[in-house]
Amino acid sequence: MAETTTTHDLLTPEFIQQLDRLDVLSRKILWGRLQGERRSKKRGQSVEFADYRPYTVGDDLRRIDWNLFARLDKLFLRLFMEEEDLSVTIAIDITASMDYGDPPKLLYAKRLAAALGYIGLAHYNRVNLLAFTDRVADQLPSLRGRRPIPRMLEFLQRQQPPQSQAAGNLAQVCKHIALLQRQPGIVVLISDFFDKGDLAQALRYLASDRLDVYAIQVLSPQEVDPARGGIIGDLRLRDVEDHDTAEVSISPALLKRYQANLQAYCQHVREMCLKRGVAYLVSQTSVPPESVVLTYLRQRGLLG
Amino acid sequence: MSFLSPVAALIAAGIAIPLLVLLYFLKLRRREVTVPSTLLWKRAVQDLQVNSPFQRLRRNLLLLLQLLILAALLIAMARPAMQAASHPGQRVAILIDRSASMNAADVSPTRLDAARRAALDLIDSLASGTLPGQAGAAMIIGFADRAQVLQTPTSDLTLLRAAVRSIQPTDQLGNLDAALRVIEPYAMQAQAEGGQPLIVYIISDGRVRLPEGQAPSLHGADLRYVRIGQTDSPPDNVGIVSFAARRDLDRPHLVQVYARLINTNAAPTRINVMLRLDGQTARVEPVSLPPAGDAGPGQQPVQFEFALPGAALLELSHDHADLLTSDNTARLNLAPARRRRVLLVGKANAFLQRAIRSAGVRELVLMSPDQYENQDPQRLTRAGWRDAPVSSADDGFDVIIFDGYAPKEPPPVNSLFFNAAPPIEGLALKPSNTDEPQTQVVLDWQRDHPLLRHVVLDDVLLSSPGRLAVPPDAVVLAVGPAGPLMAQVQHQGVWHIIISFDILQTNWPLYVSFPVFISNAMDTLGLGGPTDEAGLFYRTGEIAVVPLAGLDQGQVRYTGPAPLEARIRQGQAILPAFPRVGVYKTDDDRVDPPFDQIPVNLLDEMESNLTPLDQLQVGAATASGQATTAAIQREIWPWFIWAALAVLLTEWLLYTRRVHL
Repeated sequence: MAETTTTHDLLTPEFIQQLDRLDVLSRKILWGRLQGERRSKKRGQSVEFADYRPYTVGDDLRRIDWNLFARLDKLFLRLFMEEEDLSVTIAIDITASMDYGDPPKLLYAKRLAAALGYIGLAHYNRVNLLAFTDRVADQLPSLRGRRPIPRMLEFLQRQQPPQSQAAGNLAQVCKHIALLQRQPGIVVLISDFFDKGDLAQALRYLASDRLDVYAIQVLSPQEVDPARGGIIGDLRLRDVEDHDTAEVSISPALLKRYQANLQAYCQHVREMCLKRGVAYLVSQTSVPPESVVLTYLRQRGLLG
Repeated sequence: MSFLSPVAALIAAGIAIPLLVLLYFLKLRRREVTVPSTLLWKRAVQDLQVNSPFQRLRRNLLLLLQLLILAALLIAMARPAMQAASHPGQRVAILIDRSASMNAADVSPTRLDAARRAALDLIDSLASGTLPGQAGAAMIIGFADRAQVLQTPTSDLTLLRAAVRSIQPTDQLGNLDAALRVIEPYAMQAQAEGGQPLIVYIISDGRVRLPEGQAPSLHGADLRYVRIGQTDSPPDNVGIVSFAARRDLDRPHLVQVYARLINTNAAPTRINVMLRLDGQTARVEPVSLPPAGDAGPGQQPVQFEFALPGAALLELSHDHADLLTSDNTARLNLAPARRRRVLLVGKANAFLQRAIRSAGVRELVLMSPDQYENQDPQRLTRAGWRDAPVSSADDGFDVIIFDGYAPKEPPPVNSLFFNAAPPIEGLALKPSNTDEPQTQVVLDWQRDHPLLRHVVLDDVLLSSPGRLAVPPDAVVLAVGPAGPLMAQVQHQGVWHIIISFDILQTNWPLYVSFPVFISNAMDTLGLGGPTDEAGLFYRTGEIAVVPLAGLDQGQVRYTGPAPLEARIRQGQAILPAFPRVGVYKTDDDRVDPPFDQIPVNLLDEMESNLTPLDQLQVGAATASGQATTAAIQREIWPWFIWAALAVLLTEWLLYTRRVHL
């Protein structure tokens, strides 16, 4: 679906206003690299007092609490809360299967990514953007501050399904992400998760203490109810990615079975995610991305 | 059940069944649709196959249904029939009764329609029994009072069917004899060729006249009687089977109407009998009819008496709604009341006068030859049928008797000549030759002629009787040794009876046969001949002769239950046999009453008794036909076509249920 997306397609001004009030949170306490707006586990240089500790040789003399020394005749260092940035990696699936549905799942994924990226950048977090097919196809690393927001949007807009159609390989992509992610942070994986490979293996690469992973599964209404998508009669179904075909004669029983299978598959993905400590969210493209960001992601704890 | 063309069906089956199965196993042409992933679909298909044990069967349900449709079509193609008795190559004559009783509605819609259906079934079975080229010729004959060959022997089924469909109902009597005589030559031909006998199907209710006396020779025929009509209960019919009207001899304005009704119901039946005069209801009388018994239908006479001097159309009917309508009404043209007026020209012959008076003639006028010749000839004829008063002094005459005087012109009314002859070309009275014996006897006479009924001329001695020279169209009634003694001549629609001798020169007046002859002559000549009763009516199948004095060309047309047409020849028009009951009317001014409206009745006990006969005995030598309704093969292939359609519908429903959700 080679349609050009504009900035307004991805983020509307009203939506941006609402996004300004949000920040990216992590369920885990992660180390940043640069100073940012996020309270860190590390003791650092903010104005917020955290604790005392005895002085040892080599500590910064400026941080000795001289008042306490006067009272107790012992040297104590004052420790302050450290505020640092958070690394947010947003990976979107741009395989051909994402270019399906009305609206296309890819556009929907781009909107979600744009919203999350905007939130991350607005609060001085380090944002990495990735687009992947069977491998990482494009990336935009280490954005910080409000300035690169247009770059981020431009990056998202130009993502299209590759011409050389290849089946998605989530395991490969996850391995790549895990290797790229040298710094602890949040990873948001936006995909339809229709992967014929081993999903458990893929998630295993991301399961680490350093990473807080969110998996957002995007489904189109046509996938949930194929009859609405014109899948009726005796058909040869062609897989858009690997050109695999399946001959089906649509019957009520088959449709029922398909929907049960879809439920079961989503449940399977959810269980896999839970097992690996990955937060999971399924979203239909019929649900506006605004409400996903403003409601569901806040409930999941990614935004606050 | 048997199959009439199994070979064709087997060949078709050999081609069609493998073709269908082959087609089924060919790949279904599927629409190609791109989906994001076939992952879930493949799983769904697998699950469906695993979870439903009858999946394979269900997938083949359409194939099974299609095979079922094909099987039904193939069976239909094999032409199954319920009864197997075909006669390939045989000749068949189908005689279809279309008499009045075949209009009975006990079989819906009528017996004749049932007979048509039976005949069409016969034709179908005939077709199925013959292969092309092996001609099984059939002929169709419709019969009522007369037999009509509707289709000469042919194997063209279209012609045969068209002939059967063309059969029209009549109200005539059924005359099987006439029909059998038509097929007699065909039966003899079949016998002469030594082949199989001619099969004669008589499709009838059995209410027909069977051959009497010498039955037709049907040795080469195999008679089969196909009975039509309900036999499980007595038919519900009340019919008028005889009807007559008479005027009192002394008081002619008094009319007596007699009728006899029969009832074929098993229960006594109460009906109302209505008498209408010129369409106006005159009498209604309740009548209770006894039930039909073993001896036959219940009978009840009805009698009405009323005064009516003029002419009228009498209509007697009953109000019982029964199976046959044509016998519910009887009609007749009542003659106006008048006395017979006879003119005697010549000597005052006492024997003749007494004989005339004893014949019931109340008004006898005597005239001398001079008086006769000097009067206006117009006054001799009587006024018309309608406006004749009961009695008027000089109102013409019914009969003129010339005793020894020959008028100068042929008289305009029916006349009887003794020892004289009217001046008609070819007619002459010749005196006896001198070499003949003085006394002669009558050698021969026509005993069955109405004039000579009950007349015995054995002992009559004639003195010099002379002889007659007669025109070719004359009817010689009696001959003597020298030649004709008595003859009947028609001249311009008027009948003349010429007797060559003077009765005073014979001893005939001394015998009883003389007044009998005079009475016959008065009856025959005096009432103009149409009927010897006071009413005029015809029965279906009869032929009416319409007198049209002085005309010799043109046509007469009648309208009514059926249009009739006749050419006028020699002062009369002979109408064809009446097909239906009712009143036939004409607007033609040349036709005098009472022939302007001719009532036609059924009046037949055989036809009114609707009980179908189980057996037809045709002559002693020929086989009697049993009711062989079972002999008809009924093809049942349409049932299979319907079944195939039903299965097709089921298949379509199943298919659409699969496709549309």
